[in-house]
Formats: sequence, C-alpha cells, structure tokens
Amino acid sequence: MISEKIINLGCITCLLIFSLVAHYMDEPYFVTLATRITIFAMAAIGLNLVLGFGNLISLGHAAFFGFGGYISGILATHAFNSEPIFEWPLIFSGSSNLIVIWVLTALLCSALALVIGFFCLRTTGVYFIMITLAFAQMIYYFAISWPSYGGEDGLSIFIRSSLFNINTMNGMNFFLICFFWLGLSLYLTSRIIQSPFGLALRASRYNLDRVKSVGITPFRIQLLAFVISGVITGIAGSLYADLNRFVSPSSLSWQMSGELIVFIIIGGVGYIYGPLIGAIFFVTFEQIFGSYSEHWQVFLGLLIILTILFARGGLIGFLSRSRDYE
Amino acid sequence: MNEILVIEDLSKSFGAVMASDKVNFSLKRGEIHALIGPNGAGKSTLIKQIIGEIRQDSGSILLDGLEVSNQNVPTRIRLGLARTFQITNVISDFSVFQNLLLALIGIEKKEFTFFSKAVSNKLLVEKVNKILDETELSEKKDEVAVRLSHGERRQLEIGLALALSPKVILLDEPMAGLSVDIIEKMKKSFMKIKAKVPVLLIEHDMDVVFAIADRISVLVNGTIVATGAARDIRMNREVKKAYLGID
Repeated sequence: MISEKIINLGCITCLLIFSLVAHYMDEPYFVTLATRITIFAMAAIGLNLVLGFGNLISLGHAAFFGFGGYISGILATHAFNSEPIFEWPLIFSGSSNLIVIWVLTALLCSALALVIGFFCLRTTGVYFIMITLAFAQMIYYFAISWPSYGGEDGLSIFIRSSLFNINTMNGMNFFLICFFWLGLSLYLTSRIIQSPFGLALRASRYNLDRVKSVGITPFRIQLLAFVISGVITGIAGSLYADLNRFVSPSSLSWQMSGELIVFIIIGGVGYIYGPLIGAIFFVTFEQIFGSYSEHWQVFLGLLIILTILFARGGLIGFLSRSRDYE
Repeated sequence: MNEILVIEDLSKSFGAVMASDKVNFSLKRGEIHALIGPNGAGKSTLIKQIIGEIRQDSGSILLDGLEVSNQNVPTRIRLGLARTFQITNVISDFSVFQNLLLALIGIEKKEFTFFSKAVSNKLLVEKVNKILDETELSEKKDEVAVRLSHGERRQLEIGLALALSPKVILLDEPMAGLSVDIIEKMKKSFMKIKAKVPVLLIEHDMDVVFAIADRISVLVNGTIVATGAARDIRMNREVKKAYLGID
C-alpha cells in the first residue's frame, strides 16, 4: 500500500512538472491540457465537498460551473461593448478584471447555491438527485433561450482578462493562476474537513438522527457546505470560460454534472485529492483513447464499472487504504 | 421547583388510534422515573414527543419550567434533553473519540468553526477524555464504533448523552440485548448518573425497573394508569390487569 500523502503529492507535483516541461518545450497544447485538468479538478473538488463528505449526490453542479462561466462571459462582453449591465443605482459596464470577476462569481454562485440548496436539501436520496438535476436543467434551458448572451450558440469572450500586470493570454501564466486556485481549493477542503464543521458534515453523511440528537441541525450544516461547494465549482467555471474565451449552455448541461461525478468516482469519493486524480486520469484517458476512436466513452464506461465493482474508493482507495483526515 | 420535566395533557393520535391520551407525567430532580407498559402502550411515541421527533396534537412539555413543545429536536437537546435510542444509534464509521467529540461540538455550538482542527481543541478533548473515563471506554478510544460490542455501544450512547451535560436523560430500553453481567454494571452506572441528572427510563426488564426506579408510571393504551413507588405499583390492580389480565 502507498501512503495517501505520497499519492497526493505525486499527482499535484506531476501536474505542475508536466505543464512546466510543456511550456519550456514550447507545447502550448499540453499547457492548455494541464490547465483543463486543473479547472476540472477544482470543479469536482467543489462537488466532492458535498458528495464525498456529505453524501449529497448533486446531479446539478453544472449549474454552478456554467453560471460561473456566464458571469465571466457577460462581464467581459459588457466590458468589451462598453454597454452597461445595469444603470441603477449605479452604472456598471462589466469588467475584465479577474479579481472583480471572481468576487462577483463567488457572491452570485453563493446566492444561487443558497436558493437551490434551500429547496433541494429538504429532500434526500434519489429525490435530491432529481431536484438538483431539475434546477440545473432549468438554468440550462434559460441560457439556451436567452439570445442577448448567445443563446444556443454560446457567448464568445473577445476581451483579455487582466490580473495586476500578469499577461493572462500566456498559457503558462493562466495555468499558474488556475493552479493557485486548485491549491487553495485543496487547502480549504482539507481544513474544512478536519474542522468541527467538517466532522458535523461527515456525521450527517452517516446518521442524521444522531446528529440531531447532539444538538446540531444537519440542514444548516449541509446548506453551508452546499454554498461553499457551489462557490468553488462556480469559480472553476469562470476560469474555464476564460481559458476557452467562450462559454456555452453545454457547460450547464447534465452531462457536465455527470462528468464531475465521474472524476470523483474514478479518483475516490470522499478523498480530498480524489477529484484531482480523477480529472488527471479522465483527461489523459480521453487524450489516449480519443485519438483511436471517437467512441472512447465505451472504454470509459468499462472503467467506471470496474472501479465501482472492484475499487469503491477509486484510484486512491485502491492504492491506499486510509484517509488522511481521519 | 423539584420537578425538572413536566408533561401536561399530552395527546397524540394516529387516525383512530390514541397513542397518547392526555398524559400527565413529571420527572423530579435526583430520581429515576421508569415508564413501563405492555407493547403498543405508547411509550416510544411518548418519548418521541418529549424529544421532538413527533409533534403532539395538544398538551405541553415543560423542561425546567420552560415550554419546549414547539421546539425542534436540536433545540430541545441544547435546552437540556438527552436521549439514547431503542436500537443503538452511534456514528458507526466514527471512532469512539470522534463520536464523543461530535456531541461536544454540538452542545458547545462549535459546529460552524471552520479552520481549526476539531481534535486540536484542548477544552473539547479534555471533556471527551473525562467522559471516556466515566463510561470506562478509555481503552476503546480509537476503536471504530462499528467494531464495538453491543454492550460497549450502549456505553458509548450513554457517554454521548452525558457529554451533552443534560438536565434530563431519556433512556429508551437501555438494557435490551445485554448480558446479565453488563446489566448489573449498567444498573450501577445509572445509580451514579441519577445523582447528577434525573433519568426517565423506559425498560421492559422488570427486575431492573423495580431495582433502580424511584418511581414507576404505567402506561396502558396511551394513558397513565398508575404512578408510584415500586411496591405500590406491584400491588396496583390496574397494573395487574394490564400485565396479567387479572381483574
């Protein structure tokens, strides 16, 4: 058995080295690939907080991923057109400043997560899965039917985002920004899980009656976790829109939610680094098998079946039998 | 006021079935008050109403003079009610230590603390260790609850109740499934507990009830038919009728 810490450290170091090597070998495609992995991992880390540690199987997290992307896209579009988004109580004409975009993404995604979580967390099990899916699909169809921001065709971002004096058009710079966010998400998740809040969240995963009978209201714990989770996934969506200079309704679709769940299952449900390892594996798998056949998902399906049957803790669980936070 | 828990005219029906029919009942400080009755008498429904899992149709529940009838379970727990479950209910995937730590986090209102490690809180850890000593579970501290024996899980549940520093403990059939020697140990432990916290005991083992209860109430068809000391209850005609069918 390999220590979980070694697996975690190995994966994150490999990701960093891979992008650095690609950058110095002048292979921007691979730098972008590493950035994609980083962003997907971050989005899945957000979902893992509720799915892995709270047993809340949300099939609607694409709502936050896509919403974050649209916030980024809408702000950049208005900054480019110089058309105000709203004129009262003050004139706001969008922004290409990443700090402004991230702050607004965090605020708006937390508000959205608060509303969705408030209703969804009154249900459990399969009803929770379906109601989160229903919310995400509502937002998906709303995006499709909103021509002002591209409708079905999506929204292109024509303006370069700015962060201090950093050139964000440089692939490596943008990778490092995303890598910073990935590190921050992993650190926050790790701290949260080991905190009293994390203990209460993990307890509510197993036994709601016991949690109530020690004076804790599980709904509040789960709602707050859902909001934090939505914010992390939303910021990842915002970064993804920036990476592609484009955002479309597909980032809000249930397939996106499904992919995030697949990252977590492959990497290891309830492992802090599980989503990162899942994202690395998924994207690598897609690159290798996708080059042979456009139906590469057939092999992915087989892999998921094998993981569920023989390695329930995903790759980390298979290689290491303990959890670091315990 | 000597009475810590007062139940007044509590009623609850499920369709045509009256599970609690104007129940009046009290628990005094320093006593073990046992609630007995044949199967289906409404004991568990009464416990669930006291703890807040089931809302009563009418009547009131006063804890230390405070009306708690309309509060939810976590609020009642924080106001001083603690309970054990009929079927042991601990977090099976948590260690004994983590289970007790969770109880302390709940009662100390620390569940929204984010960035400090739960196990680094010296005050909470000290309290957990104290409860571990009291419940004689120190050696099992790091054992995952699912690996504990039935008796040890019962001890842990009582530890969880004690960790909440309650005003009242509700014990729902704590002796169910325990061996004779563990029952003797538990009886001694309850006698110690009652000196600190009054206990409302629901138990089918009549030897235990008559040995440790200061007062006994008998519930039949949702109604309290008798309340008194053990010897009075043994002689009570209503009780004999309910249990033995003797008129």
